[in-house]
Amino acid sequence: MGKKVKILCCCGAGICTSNYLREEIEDRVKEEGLNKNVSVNLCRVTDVDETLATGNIDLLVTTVEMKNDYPIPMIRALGIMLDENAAKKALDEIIANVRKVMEN
Amino acid sequence: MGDKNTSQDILYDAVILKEAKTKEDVITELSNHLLKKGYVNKDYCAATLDREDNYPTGLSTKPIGIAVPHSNPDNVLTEAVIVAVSENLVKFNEMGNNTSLVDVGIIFLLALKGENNHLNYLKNIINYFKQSNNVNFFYKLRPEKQIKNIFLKDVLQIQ
Repeated sequence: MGKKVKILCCCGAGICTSNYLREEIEDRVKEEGLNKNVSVNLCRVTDVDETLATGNIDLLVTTVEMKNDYPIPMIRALGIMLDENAAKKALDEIIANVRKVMEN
Repeated sequence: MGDKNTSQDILYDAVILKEAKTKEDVITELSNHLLKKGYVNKDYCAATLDREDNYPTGLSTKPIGIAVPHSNPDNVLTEAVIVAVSENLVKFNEMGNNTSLVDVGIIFLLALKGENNHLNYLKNIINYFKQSNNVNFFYKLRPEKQIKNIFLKDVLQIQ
């Protein structure tokens, strides 16, 4: 068992598209048999800095453009909602990042 | 899916916008519609305009775009979802990509309180309008009553 991976999803309101992402990510994580290893939290884009400062977040997944750079991997994942190929690609990338964190 | 959407307390309404030329026109007209009915407070319109400016909600479905303007629940008194067909295509900024514009003909104003509600509506709306034949069909619907019927039956699948 590797370490627990924390994913943060953010969007403009912190309720709408970020929630959509969380559901899709959790479904895929379950398929991969990793649901014991991953937690997904939500926040508004305006609260990202604060959340990252306090939360040991490993991966940031977002539907909006981010103004700053962060020290953790960031995945733009709006495509998860709109396009099946883009969704697969983004979810593959998320899972790859999760596995990388677990190995370290 | 959709079980939570069967609440009798939610107002579903359809509006045909004949005059609107900008996204501000659209959001203002739909917000006023809700304000008159007492579903939102007077701050709802400004809050939703502001949210749309900062975090746009246009989606480039084909052949015409849709938009799902919404804002935080503080100004919502009673939950409502309004679907509007705008006879003029109106430019919205694209979600997640503040530089590109989408010509939008169908707008869903989501005045909701619960976060899970947002999610269900968004999923149902996107799943339906991913298909261009659905976009074409829906944009031509008249009158309002017919728009509302198809919205409930085929898009939200709650009737």
